[in-house]
Amino acid sequence: MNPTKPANRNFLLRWAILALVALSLAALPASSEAAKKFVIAFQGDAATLDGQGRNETTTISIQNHIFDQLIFQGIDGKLEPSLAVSWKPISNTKWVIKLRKGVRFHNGTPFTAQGAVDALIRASGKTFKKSQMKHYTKWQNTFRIIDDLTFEIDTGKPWPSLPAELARLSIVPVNHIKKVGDAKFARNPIGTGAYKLVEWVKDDHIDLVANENYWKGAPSIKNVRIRPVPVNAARTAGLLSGEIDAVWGIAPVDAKRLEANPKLNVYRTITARTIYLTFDHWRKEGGPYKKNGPYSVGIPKGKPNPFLKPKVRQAVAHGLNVPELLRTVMHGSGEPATQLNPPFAFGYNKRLKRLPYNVARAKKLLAEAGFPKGFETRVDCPNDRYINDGPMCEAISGMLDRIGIKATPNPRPKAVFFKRMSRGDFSMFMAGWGTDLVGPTFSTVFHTRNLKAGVGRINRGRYSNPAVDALMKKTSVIMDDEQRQAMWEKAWEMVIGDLAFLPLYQQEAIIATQKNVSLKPRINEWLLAQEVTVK
Amino acid sequence: MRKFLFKRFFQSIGVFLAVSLVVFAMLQFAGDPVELLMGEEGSQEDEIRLREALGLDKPYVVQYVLFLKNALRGDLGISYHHGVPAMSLVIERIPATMELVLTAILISIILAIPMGVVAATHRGGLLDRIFLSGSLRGISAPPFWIGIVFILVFGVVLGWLPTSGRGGLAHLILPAGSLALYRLALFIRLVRSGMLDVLGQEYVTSARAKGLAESVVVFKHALKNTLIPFITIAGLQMGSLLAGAIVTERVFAWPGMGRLILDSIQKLDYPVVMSWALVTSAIFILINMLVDISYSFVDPRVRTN
Repeated sequence: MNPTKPANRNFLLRWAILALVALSLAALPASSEAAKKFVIAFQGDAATLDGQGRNETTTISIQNHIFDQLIFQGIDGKLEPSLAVSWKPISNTKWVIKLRKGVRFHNGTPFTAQGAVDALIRASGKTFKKSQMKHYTKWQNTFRIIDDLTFEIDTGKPWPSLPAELARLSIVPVNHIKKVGDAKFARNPIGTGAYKLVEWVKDDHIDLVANENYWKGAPSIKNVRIRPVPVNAARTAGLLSGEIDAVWGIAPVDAKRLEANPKLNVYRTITARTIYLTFDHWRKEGGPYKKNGPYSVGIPKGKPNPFLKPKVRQAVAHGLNVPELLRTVMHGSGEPATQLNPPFAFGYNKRLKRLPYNVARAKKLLAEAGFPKGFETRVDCPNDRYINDGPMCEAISGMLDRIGIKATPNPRPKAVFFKRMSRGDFSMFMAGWGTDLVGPTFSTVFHTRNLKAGVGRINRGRYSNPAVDALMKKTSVIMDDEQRQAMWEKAWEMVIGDLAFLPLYQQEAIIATQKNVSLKPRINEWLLAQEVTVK
Repeated sequence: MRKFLFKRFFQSIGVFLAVSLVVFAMLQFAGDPVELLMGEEGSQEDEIRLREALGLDKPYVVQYVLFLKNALRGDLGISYHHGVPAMSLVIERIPATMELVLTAILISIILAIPMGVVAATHRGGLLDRIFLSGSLRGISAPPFWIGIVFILVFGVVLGWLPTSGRGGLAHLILPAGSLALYRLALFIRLVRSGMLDVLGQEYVTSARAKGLAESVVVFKHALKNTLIPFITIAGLQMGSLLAGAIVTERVFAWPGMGRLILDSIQKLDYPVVMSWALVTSAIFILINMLVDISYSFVDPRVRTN
């Protein structure tokens, strides 16, 4: 080949200059405007900004900057007055709700009893088909307006969980929505909340500005930007570089490192999300999967289903060293669980204890149950739903191996997993349950499955105990809190005693912020700018 | 030309039909969107009502026919998760992806052509060896890792550039740069091998024999003849990136189509996935057409054929 001639060099030079100009044009500094905003990063964006359009933690947390509820779930989970100043039962089925005076929506419209009732009716789906809050409005929706700031709810039958359910229903301006339409409102909402929406660029940012007339007093942080940053490492990087002030959802593996960083604060709190193992309680023997088929799918063909025996379920409980799983797989994040609701939930039974880790005891129980050499099965798990769920699946399998249960791990994406579990394609599986409402927990998770009657939807292992069902029915209409608490505690003893489900641990929520930012982490995982202070 | 466009138009209808059928069929195996949409405390009754409201209680064939019928009227359905028309969600994201991809492709083309030419004309020289080994690394490094390293180095350690999001031009540099890296490596190799091929041919020797300046020989006679395969590959690269630079968009929280489609597949948001598939095939068809047309500018023989 010939060496390059000067003319050629000239051409290359020109090209290089062109490239440099193009690249340096792209390198112009970013606008400094973003710097003044308080930036919160979540993992995902809000699915919708209609306060009744989607029941999912991130969406609700973002929306609660804009909306209020009649009753507010405080930082520690206790119910506090919000748009309602009081709620009192005047009979077994009737409640009187008194509203706060002088509250206005962001457009200046006053908030009244009629407005509150309209919003509750919309949540029930009657005037908004796409409402995802329908299951919090199962009480008979009969309302009577007493005056501008007082109304009465007739629940039809005794409904002790009414306040807890009202705390999940955002008050939206129904008259305004009628004018603009549901779709427009979902992109451009107004509420009574601490912040007003400035701009929403989907999947990029939501800008909020303080509502100076907020009834609780204007929030101290005036301009907020909420950003969805899906990759954990990128969220953490944004915090380290100083672009982000508060990050929701720090991975446990990063938390320890961030705690060692003097420029940052890390906040941890236990959440309602409880990870559990559950079992096939109804099929007699193993065999291949068929829709509505007779076989327990994870058990080899012809072998009996061992999980029908209580001693086998106890052996599994003794065989799993949950604190060790949390220390290793979860990097020390999470608390061992004794029931499917978190300690701060109403009805929680403080006396319940976990069966201790004891390999010898587990092996003995297996032998007594007729499986001295253990058995083969499968353990199904999602791998993209809970924190480190895939690795947890492998670790559980490894621990069960030590007591003689050969449980092949079968982690799958949640989209596939939940469908297969609902169809009964398992013998034993790991999943999570995330509510602090004890009533729905029992009726959907532990009640004998009867889909026509609307109970037992999540009872995929078909646990059935008529005594539990009966107790549940009785408890759910008791209006006296103390009595109801005692009855729920009894119900927990029964289902956990049976090992209907084996609770493993409650997940933690981890938030990290810059050093000058302080907040109290919420048990319901919301991160609200109005609860944050900046020094 | 008109005949060509006409033929392409009818072909593309067939492509749309085939794509929609394949994507629809695949979605049926993916899982159950209702299961994912339900709040945990929801009852069976809620589930049945939701399934009916979304039309998912009907047999697959009926669902598909209904989809086609609505699609013909320009209605691709309402997103399950966002509650707004699915097509608008996809279209909203085209500019962000376009901005990212065009910048990345432009950077890589601007850099790759001179680098490829130099590598070829100095075959075995120092620059050639640097470019070759560099491009090998560029091709082998996973884009996810490159993105994270870029964020770490330029965002966290040096603090020069924002780590994520879309905003000013500064936000564009890291994602576009990490996206360009692979294409750059690919294009350098493409230009280099094309040039080596052409430089050995007789017409190049005869051009040199005529006494033409080396730059004229290299750029006018040789480079032009390597451009056809280059344009083809660049076009394909651009098409697949416009469908969504999935990994890069996710790492840099870039609000483009790639992030939308990944989220939508994970959540089984059928209307969004279907809309995305149709938009993407339209983009592919369009780019292929542009590539075909551009051949005729580079190579006059294509025009007469």
